[in-house]
Amino acid sequence: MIELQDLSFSYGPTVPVLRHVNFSMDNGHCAAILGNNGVGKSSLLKCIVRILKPQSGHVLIDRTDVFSLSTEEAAKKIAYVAQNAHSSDLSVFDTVLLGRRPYIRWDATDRDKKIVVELLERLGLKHLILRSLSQLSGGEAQKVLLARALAQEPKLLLLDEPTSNLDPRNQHEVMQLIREIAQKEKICVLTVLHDLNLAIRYCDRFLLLKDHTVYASGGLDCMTPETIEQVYGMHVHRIETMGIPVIVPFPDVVPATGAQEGG
Amino acid sequence: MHNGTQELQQYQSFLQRKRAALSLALLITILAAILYMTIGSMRLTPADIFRVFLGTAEKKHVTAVKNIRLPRVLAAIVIGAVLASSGTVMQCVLRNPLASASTLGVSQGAAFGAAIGIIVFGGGMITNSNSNSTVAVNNPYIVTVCAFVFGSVSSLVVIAISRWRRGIGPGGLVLAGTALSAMFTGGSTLLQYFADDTSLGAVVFWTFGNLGNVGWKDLRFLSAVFLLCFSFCFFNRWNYNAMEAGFDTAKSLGVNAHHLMLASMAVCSLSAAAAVSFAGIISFVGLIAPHLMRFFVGNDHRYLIPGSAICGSLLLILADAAAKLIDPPVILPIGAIMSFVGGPVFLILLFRGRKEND
Repeated sequence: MIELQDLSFSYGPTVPVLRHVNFSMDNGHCAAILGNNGVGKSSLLKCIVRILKPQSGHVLIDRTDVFSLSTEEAAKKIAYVAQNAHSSDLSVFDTVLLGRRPYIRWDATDRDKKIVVELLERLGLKHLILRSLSQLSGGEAQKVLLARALAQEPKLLLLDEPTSNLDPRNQHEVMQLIREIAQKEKICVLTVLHDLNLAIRYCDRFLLLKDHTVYASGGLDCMTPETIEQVYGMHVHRIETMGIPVIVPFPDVVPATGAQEGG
Repeated sequence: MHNGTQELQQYQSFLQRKRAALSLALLITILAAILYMTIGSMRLTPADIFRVFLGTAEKKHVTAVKNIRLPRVLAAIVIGAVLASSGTVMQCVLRNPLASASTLGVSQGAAFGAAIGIIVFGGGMITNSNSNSTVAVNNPYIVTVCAFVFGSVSSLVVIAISRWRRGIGPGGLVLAGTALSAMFTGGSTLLQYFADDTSLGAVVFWTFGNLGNVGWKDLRFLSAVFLLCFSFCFFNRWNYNAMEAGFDTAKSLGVNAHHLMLASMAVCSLSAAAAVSFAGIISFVGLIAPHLMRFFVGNDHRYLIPGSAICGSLLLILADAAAKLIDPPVILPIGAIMSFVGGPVFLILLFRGRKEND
């Protein structure tokens, strides 16, 4: 179980990025962080993984305050896949092996290597093990980075727009994989998404940010057209086709209330 | 159902190939060092060199090797290794393929320091005692100390900037290094403008680079510098691999990226400053040795750091051998040879790299 308690972050005293963010979710779920550009979605992930240092607040994983842990110990609990991850020249195997970095003392053990092989096999990447990351397609590279994150054996997996730059087929494959990971590993997944339809199809928890703070959070029931309209400043309909919920935007319709667009 | 042993074997033989490349490079370097010691006014065969080490050689052979050729080749090995391993790490932590001691102002700072040592403190003088050179530095310790102090000033300023302004990032640090090296080059020129002919000659000669000034005592110090620098870099090899994936990712993998960058810059630029202050300006080794080695072992710092160190040693041995062989008995300046050959090599690497990326 993870709990975000009263997280606040600002650049200097005048530029607030996140204000008093509270959220909690149980293991085995996949939560989407939604909101307009510049509302602080990526910053929220970076605060949780301490790339940014929040001015106040706590992140609890199974009731342990991760901010009280060393960076190395925290890396055993939280894994993070950045948005535009660098394409390094390391081989696929070595990239995934990097996920074992928090555990490695002098050299990688047989157990470390075994974990890597198992992950590559599970994610259907074993034919690529010696290829360099920069030679892979977007979908393959994204799966390799997921494998690296899983090699950390985290309790909490943070993903920053894992489907950006992917074609539709790969978007769905990656999202299916992410949902499966959350359920099978019994870990929490928090992912920033821009595609509302991917979010309501594959995620079962939602954290909607507006004006640098939480506007709404909860299960699928909080994804009402009214809430989405407030958060995105855009009129939407929520319909269901063949049992799949779909959000249909109507950007030309002026919203009923004065929701502002984010910067 | 197989249990992944095939993949593991594949990976092990992938690493085995890298280890083989390193062993081969090491072997070539040792052979080059032995052949290097046969070059000189007194003709020696490789067998003579072995006899010197076995203690069965003629006395004049022993003298030539132990007093002149061995310290000189060891200087090439140690200085090349320091410059190359520090260049590798600087390129990694600054995320810039052009980073090295000579592109970050360390060498230029050292040259400015040497100019101060020679011109202001009178450390240089023309001597004709040595047939290899017409100009020599008279009081090498003043010059070495000054060169080291100002070479370090460069690195310390760069590090201080990144401490004060955490947001400046690696790109900014490279620019800061460029600004400093421009400043020091200007300073050296001004000093030279006011110097008399004798000092001017000594300054210019110092900046050519010369391995002949490194004695046994200096070698002991330089070896300690190398061991310190190399151990630090090799100890952090996993962290550098993580840094290759970007600062944010490195942090999420438990690497304190900012501290690692500062510590690496401090260790590497101080070591490079020490190496340069004994031998004068030898550019390009720190820049091209890592790039050359990436062709053989890739960007995996577990293999790249030792590989670059070996490659740097080999490059300096070859450059100094060329310096001796081109126009004997004159020994051409090694710094000039290194840059003259290094430039085209760098261009070739650049074009080959492009082709592979396409």
